[in-house]
Amino acid sequence: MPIILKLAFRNIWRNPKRSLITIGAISIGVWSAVTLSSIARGLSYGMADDAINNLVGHVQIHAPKYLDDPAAEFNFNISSSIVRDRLSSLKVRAVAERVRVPAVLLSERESVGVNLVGIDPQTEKSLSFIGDGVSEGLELMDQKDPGIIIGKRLKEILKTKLGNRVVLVTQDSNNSIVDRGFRIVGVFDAKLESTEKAFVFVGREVAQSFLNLEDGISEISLKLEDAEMVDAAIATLKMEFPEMEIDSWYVLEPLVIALRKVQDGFLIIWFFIVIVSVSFGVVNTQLMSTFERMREFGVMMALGLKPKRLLSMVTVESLMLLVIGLSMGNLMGAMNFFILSDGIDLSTFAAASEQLGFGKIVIPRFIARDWIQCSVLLVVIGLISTLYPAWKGSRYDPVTSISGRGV
Amino acid sequence: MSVLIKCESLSKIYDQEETKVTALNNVSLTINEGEFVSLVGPSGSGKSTLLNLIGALDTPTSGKVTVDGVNLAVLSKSQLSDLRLNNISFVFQAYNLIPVLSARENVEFVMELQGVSPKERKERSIAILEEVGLKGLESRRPSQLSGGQQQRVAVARAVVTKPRLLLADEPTANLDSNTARNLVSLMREMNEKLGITFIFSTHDPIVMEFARRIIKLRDGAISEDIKS
Repeated sequence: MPIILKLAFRNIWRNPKRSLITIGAISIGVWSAVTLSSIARGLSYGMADDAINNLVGHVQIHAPKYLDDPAAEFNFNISSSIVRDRLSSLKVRAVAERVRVPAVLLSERESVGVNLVGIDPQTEKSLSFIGDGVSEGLELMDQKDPGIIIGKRLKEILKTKLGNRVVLVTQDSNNSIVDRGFRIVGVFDAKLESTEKAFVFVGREVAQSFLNLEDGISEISLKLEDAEMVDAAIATLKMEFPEMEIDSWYVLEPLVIALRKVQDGFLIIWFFIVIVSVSFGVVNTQLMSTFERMREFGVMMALGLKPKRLLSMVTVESLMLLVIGLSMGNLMGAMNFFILSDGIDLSTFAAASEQLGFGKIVIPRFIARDWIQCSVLLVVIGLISTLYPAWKGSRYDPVTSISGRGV
Repeated sequence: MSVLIKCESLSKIYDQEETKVTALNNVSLTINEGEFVSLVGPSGSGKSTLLNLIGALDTPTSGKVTVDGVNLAVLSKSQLSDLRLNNISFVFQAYNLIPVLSARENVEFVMELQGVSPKERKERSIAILEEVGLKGLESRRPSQLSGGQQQRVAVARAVVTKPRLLLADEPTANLDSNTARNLVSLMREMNEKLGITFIFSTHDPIVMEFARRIIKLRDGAISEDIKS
């Protein structure tokens, strides 16, 4: 083993207590940085997953003007099989055709503004939360099912129950007010109470007949196997259907993307603060260590060791401390995933977290880029900060060092 | 015998706060290859200063030091480092050895800096440690060796690279007389066997006993130069 590496490694363990404290400080710093980043990413990626599962999907197709005014008159006629066919080069997990308009839902006691969504329950599986089934009663059997499924919270607000009838009032494709009664056949549970209040589901053909749409639909939502291919899908669909409004989930859910960008900046700042703080510890350790070895350095330089090699020896010692601390910190961070694999329960803060679009359970998320950024920053900033003690050591004059008089 | 070291009108003045201290005052001397020289004198007489100047560890305020025909003043710091690495060895009074290296690794240290192959380093270091009477102690760290044994390791390290010149600054100061005698006797043996030029700075009469030339210093100047 080259002498510099051998000396560097053994010198670290000359004062094991001090080195272990320094390594401990680095580990805790790294662990805190990766833990915070994984929880923060869990929040934002969870939010994105919820948004995607919450009927948005990866890509949506609408008629022009629909997004500004989601009325039944802004409908179109493109089948999901054509869409799937156009995207044959990309792996499409699911495509759903929907009717979707704002409506008022009335029980015998209350009325609430909702989004009426006409679905084919088979195509919603693997695409949205409603495809996962209901917590009470029955799912819609098919798109001709005459029943209605409402959210658990909505049921409470309407003071109604499974089996009761409710009335939907809305505008049809001719902008005429229409109403129809539906029997509650199922109640769904969602991650967010706002979702339970916002959406009611009926069969798509039932909705089309209710709104005088014939074969018209309000939207197509699709999910890809690979979320990274969203832009490619958008580009393909825009070429195939240039007259349609085609958007990705991050355009439809701008808050999620904005939060991620804020998070990216916040995390870098947090990493920087943690790493600079940790670096002070390393600098202090190395300054003490070089001061204690002044005579030894003097002898080594007298024997012919050049200052540059002495500088590299002290720098390698610092690098070893950083790498050991970094590895332990990352290992501790990785253990988080086992310990927190069921997620962190935020029910105590549920009301507040829901305001921001977070679910009650946050599952920490490993994002390789964050860990790499943190690790690289630690090594770079750590090494830069420890250049001073290394430089100081290399500047010792052999004569005064050996005599113990210092520089 | 050819001239190895030539000092011409060497002076060294230190600035110490508000006073100037003249450590060496216009010293001139010549040392030939293979000599076994002892610089003696009371504390502050300039012995260590002269040794440091000859060993290229320090630079004179005025005057010239030539080692093997090379004027040290024209060499850069890097070149002086190389000179020490390849031609000059040192044995100090204390703190000679690198604490985290074993006896053998300490002996190998300079050879490794010189780029000697691992196989050759190992062979030469084991051989020299045997020669200085430390066979079987190769893997011990300095803290596991006595003062005398540590100095023997330092001597082994100093001679294993076959330097032209070995400078020893009070090498026996921390040793009992018996150990000191053995150490100096060993060095004398190395001098005769390998032809290495030895220069000691010392108060120790045992060292003086073995020296073939004694240069006495007082107040930074040579007062006597005795060849036996």
